[in-house]
Amino acid sequence: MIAFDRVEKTFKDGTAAVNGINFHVNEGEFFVLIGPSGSGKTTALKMINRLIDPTAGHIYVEGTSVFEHNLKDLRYKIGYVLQQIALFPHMTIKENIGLIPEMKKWPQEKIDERIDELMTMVGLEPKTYKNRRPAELSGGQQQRVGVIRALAGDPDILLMDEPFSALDPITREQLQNDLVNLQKNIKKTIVFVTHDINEAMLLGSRICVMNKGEIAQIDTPDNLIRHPQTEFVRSFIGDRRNAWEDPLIKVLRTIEGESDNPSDPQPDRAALNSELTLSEAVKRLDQSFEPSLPVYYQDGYLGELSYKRALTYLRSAQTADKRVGGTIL
Amino acid sequence: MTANILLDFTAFSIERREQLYITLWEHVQMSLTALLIAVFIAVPAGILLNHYQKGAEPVIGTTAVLQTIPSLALLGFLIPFIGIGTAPAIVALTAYALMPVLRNTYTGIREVDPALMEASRSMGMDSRQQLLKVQLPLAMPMMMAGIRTSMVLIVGTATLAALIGAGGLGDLIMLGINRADNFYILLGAIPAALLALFFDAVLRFAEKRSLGTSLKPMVAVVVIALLVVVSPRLYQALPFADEEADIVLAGKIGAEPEIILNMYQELIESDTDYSVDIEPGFGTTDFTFEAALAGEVDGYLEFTGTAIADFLNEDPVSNDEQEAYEQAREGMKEEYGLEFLEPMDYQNTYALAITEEIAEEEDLNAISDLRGIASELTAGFTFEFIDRNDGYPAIQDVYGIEFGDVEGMDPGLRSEALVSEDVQVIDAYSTDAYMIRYDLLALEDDENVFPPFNGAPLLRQEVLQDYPQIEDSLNRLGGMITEEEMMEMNYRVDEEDEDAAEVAEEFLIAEGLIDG
Repeated sequence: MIAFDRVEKTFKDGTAAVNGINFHVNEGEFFVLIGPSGSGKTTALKMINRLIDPTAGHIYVEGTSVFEHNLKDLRYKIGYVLQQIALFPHMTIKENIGLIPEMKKWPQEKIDERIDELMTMVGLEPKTYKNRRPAELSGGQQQRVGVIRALAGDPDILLMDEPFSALDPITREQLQNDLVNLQKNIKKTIVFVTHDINEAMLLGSRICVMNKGEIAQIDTPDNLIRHPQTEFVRSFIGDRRNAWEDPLIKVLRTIEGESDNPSDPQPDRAALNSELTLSEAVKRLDQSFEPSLPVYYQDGYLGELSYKRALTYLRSAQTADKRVGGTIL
Repeated sequence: MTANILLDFTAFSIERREQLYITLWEHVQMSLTALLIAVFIAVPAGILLNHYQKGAEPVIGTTAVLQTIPSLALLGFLIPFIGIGTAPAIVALTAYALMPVLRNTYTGIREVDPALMEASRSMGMDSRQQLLKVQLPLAMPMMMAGIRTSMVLIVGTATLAALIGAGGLGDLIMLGINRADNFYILLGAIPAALLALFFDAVLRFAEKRSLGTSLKPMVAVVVIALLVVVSPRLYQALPFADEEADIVLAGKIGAEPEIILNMYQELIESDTDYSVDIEPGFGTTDFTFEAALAGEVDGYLEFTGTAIADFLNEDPVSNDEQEAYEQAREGMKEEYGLEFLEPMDYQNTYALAITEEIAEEEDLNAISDLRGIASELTAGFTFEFIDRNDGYPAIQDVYGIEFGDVEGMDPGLRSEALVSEDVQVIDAYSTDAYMIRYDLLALEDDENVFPPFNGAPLLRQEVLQDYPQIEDSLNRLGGMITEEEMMEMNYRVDEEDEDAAEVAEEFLIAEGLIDG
C-alpha cells in the first residue's frame, strides 16, 4: 500500500530529518511511527501525502510513485488528522466534514448522508452538533470531527500525526479505544505518529521505532518488547522484561489493591494460577480466546486478567521504573 | 435657548436641502470611489505580499509614509500633476485609505493558523481554494476593520476636497467658515459624521452576514458601491449628456466671487455665441490660481493687491489704483502668461470698521479721526492684519495711531466682538456683507495706507486668443460697481439668501449692460 525506498529529507537549513529509510505498510494495517522528538517520524508521515517532499529516494502509494499521482487525487485518497485538530473555525461541523466530498463534487444528498453516517459512527448526534461551530465542542469532540473529516471522502489511507497528544488523559484513552473499534469496522490503512509508547503498543499492529532520522526497529508490539534489537529500542520502550516476569498475584494486587475480596462472577472457567508470570498468563489468555480470565490464589478468587489490565500494569511498572531511576534507592 | 437653536437649525437645513442633497451625493460619490479603488488595490496587494513576504515591509512602509503627509499638502502637491477637481481629490483620498486596508489584509492573512493551512493543503486544496475558503474568510474581520478605518478617514478627509473644487459636504463647511455662519458648518459636518456612521453600519452588517464560508453579502456591498460610483459616470458618457462649454470660469469661495462670476457668464453669453461654464465656490486663492495656471479653468476673478503681494511677491509701487493695476497686469502677464482685464470700481480691501453708533457719537468718518481717541479703544484684529506690513503696522506708522489694546482673533469672531462691545474697532473687508448686517461703517483710508484691491477678470492668454470677443465683453464691467453696490449685493446673497445669479442679472439689467 505504502512503500518507502531509501527516502531522505534534508531541510534547507541543513537539518537531516530522515536518512534513507525503507519500510512498507500493508493494506489494512495499523502502522505506528514512534520515536523521540527530532527522530524524523512526522517528516516521514508528511512525505506520504506530499506535505513535505523527499530530497532523495522514492515513496510509493498503491504501487505508484507519489510524484506520478495527480497531487489532488493523491490527497483525496489520503485522509489526514493533525495534532492541532485544525477544524476551520469559521465553518460549522457539517461544513468541515463536507469539505472534501464537496471538492470531489459528490452530489449534495450523498454528502449529507455521509456526514450523518460519520457523525453517528463516532457518537456525535448529527441533529445536535451538525450546525455548531468547532469552538462549541469539547477537545475530544473536536478531534472526533477531525478524524471523520479525514474519513469523509472515503480515503484508502489515514495519516494521523499525534492526533491525541493535545487531549487530556481520560479523553485520550476514550479516543484510543474508539479508534481501535473504528479500525475494526472501516479497515483503512492507518499510519499513526506518536511519541507515547503505550499508545503505540495499544494501537499498532506493527511499530516502527525511529531515532535520529533512521529506523531502529520495525516489529509487532510483542516482539518489540521481547526482542529489542538495540540498546536504544530497549531503553525507549522501557525495560518491560521484569514486569513481564512478575507473578500474577503482584500484578493484580498492584491494579486492584488489597481492599476487597470479590467473588468470581463466572466460577466454571479455566483459571490462572497466581504464581504464573505475566508473560505466561498472557500467552494462555491468547490461547483461550477469552477477553479475560480469572486468577486464583489457592482457592481464593483474586480478580480478572484482561489485555487491558496487563497493559495497565506494564505501564505503571514503567513509570515506577523511571521513578526508581530518578531517586537514590 | 437650545430648543430655539435646534428649531432654527432645522428650518435652516430644510431651506437648503437641495444644496445638502447635492453636496451629500458628491461626498458619497467621492468617498466610495476612493474607497473602492483603495480596496481594489490594497486587498490584492495584501494577498500578493503574503507570497513575497520580503517585499511586505517596504511596501506597507511606503503606504504609511503616504498617510503621514498632511491632507492639505497632498491635495496641493497633486495639482501640478493631475490638476484640480474630483480626480486629484480621489487620488489623495485613495492614498490615505491604502495603508489600513493593505496592512490589515496582509496581517489578517499572514496570521491564519499554519495548522489550518496544513489541514487545507492535506485536503487537496490548491492555493486559490485555500485563499477563498480559508484565508479570506478568516482574515475577513481584520480586513474589514482596515476597510472601516479607511472609510472613516476618507469621509472625514473628503471635506477638505472642497478646497480644490471637488465639491462634497466640505463646500458647506467652507461656506460656513467664509460667512462665519455656524449653521452652514454644521450642515456640512453633521451629515459627514452621519455618513461615516452609516457606512460603518453597512460594512459591519455585511461582515456579520459574511461570517462563515459565504462571501456573498460582501460581494453584494461591493456591487452596490460600484453601481453608485459608476452609474453617474456612465450617464455622463452617454451622448445626450452635457457637452463641455467653450470657456470655464471659476470663482473663489464666497458670495462676491459668485455674483461677479455670474455677471461674467451673463455678459459673455449675451454678447457672443460662446458657451460659458462657471464653477463658483471653486476653492481658496491658491487652488484657484493654480487651476488657472494649469489650464483646468480659463480664468477667475482676482484682485490686484493679491496678485502683487501673493503671486508676484512684490511691494505695491504705489497706493494709486491705476498704477497698482498696471503693476499687477504687467507682472502677471510676464511671469505667468495670465491676462488681467479692466478692473471694476469697487475695492475689496482692508478697512477699519466701527459701529454706526460710535461713528455718530464721536463723529468719525476717516481713520485719521481716530487719532484723538485711539488710546481709549480696544481693537479686534485678525492675526494676519496684525502681522502684515500693510496692516496694523502701517496704521501705526502712517497715521501714528496706537490703540489702547489690540486683541488678535479669528475673522469670524470680529464682527460679533464689535457688536457685543468687547472691542470698538475691527479690521474688515470693505465689501463684506456683515458690514450691513451689523450696521458697520468703514472708515475712509484718507492717507491711502491700504494697497488697492481692485477686482478684475484674470484670464489665460490662450482663451483670449481662441475666443477674442471675451475681452470686449468683460471689459464692459470695467469701472462699474461701487463699494456700496457690491456690499449690498453681498448682503442679499449672504444674509438674505438670494440667488447669486439673480442678483447678478438684476444688476446687469439695471445698469443696462444686458437686456431684460
